[in-house]
Amino acid sequence: MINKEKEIKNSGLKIEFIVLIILYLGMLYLWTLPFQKQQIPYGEPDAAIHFTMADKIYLKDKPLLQAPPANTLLGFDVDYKQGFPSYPPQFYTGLGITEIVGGGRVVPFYLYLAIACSLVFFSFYFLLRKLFGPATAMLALLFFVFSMRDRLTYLWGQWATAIAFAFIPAILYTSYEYINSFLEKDKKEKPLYLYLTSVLLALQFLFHAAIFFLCIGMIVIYIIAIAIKERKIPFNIKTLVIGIFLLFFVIFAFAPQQATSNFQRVFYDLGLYNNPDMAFNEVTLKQNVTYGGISRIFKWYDFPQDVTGAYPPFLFSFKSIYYSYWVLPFLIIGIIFLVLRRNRRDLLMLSTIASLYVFLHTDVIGIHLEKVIRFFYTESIIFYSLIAIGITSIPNIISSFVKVNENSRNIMKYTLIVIAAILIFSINAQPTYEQLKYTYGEGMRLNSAEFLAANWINDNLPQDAGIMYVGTPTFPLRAWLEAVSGRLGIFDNLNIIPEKDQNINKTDYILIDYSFYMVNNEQAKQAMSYLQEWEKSNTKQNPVYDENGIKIFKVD
Amino acid sequence: MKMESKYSKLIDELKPIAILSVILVVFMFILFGIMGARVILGFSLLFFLPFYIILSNFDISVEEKAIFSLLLGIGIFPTISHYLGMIFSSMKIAIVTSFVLLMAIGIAFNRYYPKLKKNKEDKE
Repeated sequence: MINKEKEIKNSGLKIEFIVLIILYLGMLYLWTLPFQKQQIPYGEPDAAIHFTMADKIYLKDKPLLQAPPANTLLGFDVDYKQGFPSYPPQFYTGLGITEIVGGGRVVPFYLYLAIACSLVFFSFYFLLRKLFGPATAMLALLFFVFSMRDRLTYLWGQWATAIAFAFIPAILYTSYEYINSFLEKDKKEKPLYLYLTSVLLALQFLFHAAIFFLCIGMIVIYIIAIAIKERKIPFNIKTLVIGIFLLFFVIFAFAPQQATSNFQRVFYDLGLYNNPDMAFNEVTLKQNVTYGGISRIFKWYDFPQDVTGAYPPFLFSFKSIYYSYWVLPFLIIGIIFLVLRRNRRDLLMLSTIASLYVFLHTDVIGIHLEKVIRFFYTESIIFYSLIAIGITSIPNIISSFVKVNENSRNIMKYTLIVIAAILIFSINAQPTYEQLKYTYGEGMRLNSAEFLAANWINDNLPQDAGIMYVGTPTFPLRAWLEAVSGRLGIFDNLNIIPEKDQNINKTDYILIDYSFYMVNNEQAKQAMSYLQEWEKSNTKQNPVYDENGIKIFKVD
Repeated sequence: MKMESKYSKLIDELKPIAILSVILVVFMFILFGIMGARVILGFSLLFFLPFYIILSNFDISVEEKAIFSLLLGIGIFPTISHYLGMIFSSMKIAIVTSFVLLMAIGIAFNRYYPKLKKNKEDKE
């Protein structure tokens, strides 16, 4: 009998493992769609900066100690003008190592990101499985695979943030396990979990400080909730002190420069440290933003335009970001179910949404957090957990009103999961596939002519050469030309022929980009003849490169 | 004999992870050729394996070890390589040295800190 039970359990585990692998492969397939056919780099300007940094490690076979010389694009990433990259070594070096191991500049770079950003898939599953069982965890994963917010965070190049997410479920788990071991009378305190919490928190901080603070908020709220529930401080103060020491030790040992700079910035924000170099942030940090007063405590997405900035409005619409309203009732059911039951694991899940709520509403008590909108990046993994809990808890809720045996409850639970899965595939799958397949099209990503030219520059022109881009029509293209070529780019944001760039006198080469206009329409023809005229009157020698509609001239 | 059983247990534990890695290697080979396969192999060997071996000395479950190894790996391995890269002035040498160093730490832990293992085995 026991053997049979063991057999059933083992075959259940095997099925779970197979489903997990299929789901992960599906997710990796989707997340690698943007570079499967077109192996040309893409992403927002932040992405171009990250690419450049990792590329330096790969191409020079040296660690990245200094940010490349400040110029129109990369100047953004020089931390307070001190010259070192603003991200700690772990981020760029991880990318650089993968380029070295993979033996290429583009595929290994994006593949590392697809894997690292999708690590949350495993940590998220691990946490939910441990707390609420495999069915809830699997359903939440299915939502996550098609999650628009997580996909966009990854697509838009907010990679360090996306990697920092992966730490949240693991950190919550280790905190939960430590507190449990401390509170259970028949168990021995397991300080290892608290030390693991510290190390994971430190690594998370080094990937993205904002997500770290949100995670700290989750743990603090959880501790308060548990202390109230158990009427006891749920940790050993000595262990905690060692844990805090370990946290700071790892942070400062791993990234002394960036850690110092990050903490200076926090103290600067709090008015405890003064440094004129940080004044450039003053506008965003100290602005007196009125979000809408006390009424905002009843609202979730209500932010004025000056706070949401360049983010598109659909990011602040439940219907858009979750495809429709069908999951909303389950989100509410999930929250109500956890609030009513309130056992330790329920409080842990509730602390996640409570912390996010607090961080999104600090303006109500007059605290404006820089880039508050970025906290929304974590919304989907929190909501999807609660939605999955809501769906799978329905049979339990029903059984508290009507007598239902366990078998029927299980049938009901799995039926609901199957219905939810069908809805997810029919509503969420198609837009996910299309967005990832057709992302960064014309004008947003280098065409093959531009990519080849940028590679040629990287291989053939002097390291300190300044290249003027003439005809390259959009900022992303200019940024990526600069990133792939690894040379100073000279361009104007408002004109295809640069006149105002601060580095214009550093021009050594001129790149004339006809490739974008080699299409049959009137506007393109006009642009083409305008560029040809410009070429005639501004270049005298033969081009040093002339391929696929791109010409490069040396300037005397 | 005891040491042998420790390692065979570790190898047993690593089987499902190895299966997942092989599937990923094949999958990425189909999508991206040899470059894709090398990335997965590198990721598993450098960012995962040394940390799994280190964590296998502690009293935690297989799933816990797997998840923590992945997360510790992407944070710690590149950092060690970065600092070793400053010493050797070559990232390639730094990567190999970091791997050897971390594997040695894991094996040394296993050999010279039997108390930790004893604790674990007593509980089992």
